[in-house]
Amino acid sequence: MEKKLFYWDAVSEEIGKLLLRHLNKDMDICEIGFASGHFLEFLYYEGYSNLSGIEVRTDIYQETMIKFSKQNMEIDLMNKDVLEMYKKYDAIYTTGLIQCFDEKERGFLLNHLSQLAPVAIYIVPEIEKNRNKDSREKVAVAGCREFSTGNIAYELSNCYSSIYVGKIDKSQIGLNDNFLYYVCERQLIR
Amino acid sequence: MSDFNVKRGENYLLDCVFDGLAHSYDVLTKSYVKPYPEVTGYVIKYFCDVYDEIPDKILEAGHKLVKIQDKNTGGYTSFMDKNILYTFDTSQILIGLAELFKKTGKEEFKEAAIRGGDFLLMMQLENGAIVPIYDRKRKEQYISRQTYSIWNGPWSGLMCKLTEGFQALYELTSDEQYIKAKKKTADFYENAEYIECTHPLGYWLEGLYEAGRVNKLNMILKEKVIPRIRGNGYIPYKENLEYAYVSGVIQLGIILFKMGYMNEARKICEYGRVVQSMDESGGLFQYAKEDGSLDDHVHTEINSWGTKYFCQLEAML
Repeated sequence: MEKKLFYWDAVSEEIGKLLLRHLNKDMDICEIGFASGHFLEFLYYEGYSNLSGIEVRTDIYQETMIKFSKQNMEIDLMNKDVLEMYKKYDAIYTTGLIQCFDEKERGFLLNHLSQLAPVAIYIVPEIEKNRNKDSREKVAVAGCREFSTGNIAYELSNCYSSIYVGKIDKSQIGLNDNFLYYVCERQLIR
Repeated sequence: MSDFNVKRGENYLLDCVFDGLAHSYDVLTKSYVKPYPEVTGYVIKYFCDVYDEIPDKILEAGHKLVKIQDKNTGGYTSFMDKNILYTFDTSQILIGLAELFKKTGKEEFKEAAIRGGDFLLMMQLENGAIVPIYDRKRKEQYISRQTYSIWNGPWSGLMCKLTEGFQALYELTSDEQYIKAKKKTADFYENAEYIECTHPLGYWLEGLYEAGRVNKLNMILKEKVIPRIRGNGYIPYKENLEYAYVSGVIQLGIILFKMGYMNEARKICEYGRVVQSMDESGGLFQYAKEDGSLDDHVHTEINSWGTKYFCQLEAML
């Protein structure tokens, strides 16, 4: 199958490589907050067959569903809040979502997500100070409210037994923020 | 103070440093083991503190530490896995290098110490907690419940000792970022109370002392340390164990001395003397029984860090 091109080339390429490195093709995988679905699409064309995604925004969910249908892609898409999801997976991943929640909400969300799969990959911009505090944009839409993240390894260590933390430098991806990624396992990796 | 005991201890320390690194000595196999960068840092600092002229071996050890530093991050490996860089170890090493710079004026030591400081800063989180491990191949920090698992896990109180590393860096550079990092470290780890095992308890208290958190320190000494000291100065490694981690006992003796508990410090030093008398090398067993003889539950080694702490305590009294 042919590999699809990305939307934001540099950062997406790095994230794509990261997902390929840590997710096995036989895993049952769910993307949390898939938006336009380009990572699901990428994994699909890389040969991953057990893919799902959940997205709370109905408009973008429908757009993505139509796009995937046109390509006859067999990916299970759900339109609901992840906090209402209890199905278990082998692995979950999410990009650019965690920073949209304040520290208290984030703790609650991470705890819930850690129950969904033994392996999780979180890709989070490294934000020093809260921003866009008066924004009315929906969660995870460009310009929405975003909260200080820094390195959230300590918070994640409350939910997972082991965490690898890596950095995608902003100079490498041409964005305003560095991205930190967290490869988490509920059981010990070693 | 017993000059004789200090001299014997120092002889062991000098003997155990070769090929640029301090080693432990296995009394059973009669061989040196564990070439250990971290404790080489301790030994360098000791000789810088007490000798006007640095022994050649110690200077060579400094060069070795500069040479083996990870050039990408400034971190250091331990004696085992060469892929893993340890934040705790790096802090102890940079302190030794900073002291060597003060003593010799050689810029390479200062530069390496600052690179070590960059590593420490990279590993510290905003809340002051410090990630203990960096995976060199993956270029990723690693947090695992397995790390320091017997000492409360990856956020163990022993990391409080990094306040000393940040202080050394501040003294070396006058850069305020290290004072901020030191305060953050103390704020976080003051609450990461660690009591159970003497050795990491010693590290925790050394960190609190460096940060001036004397109220907490005094409370812990009175309530949690002094009641554990037996009549001959022996303190079991942890409750219900029948052996001591000797370095941990001596570390507590030094803290007690610094906080004015002279009788307790003397008792502990006396126990250290008994342990030292058990082997002709002048070094102290890592693990010893209450009567000072070797305990072989874990291994049968004499180590340099316990011996170094003993020499310090002897010199204080």
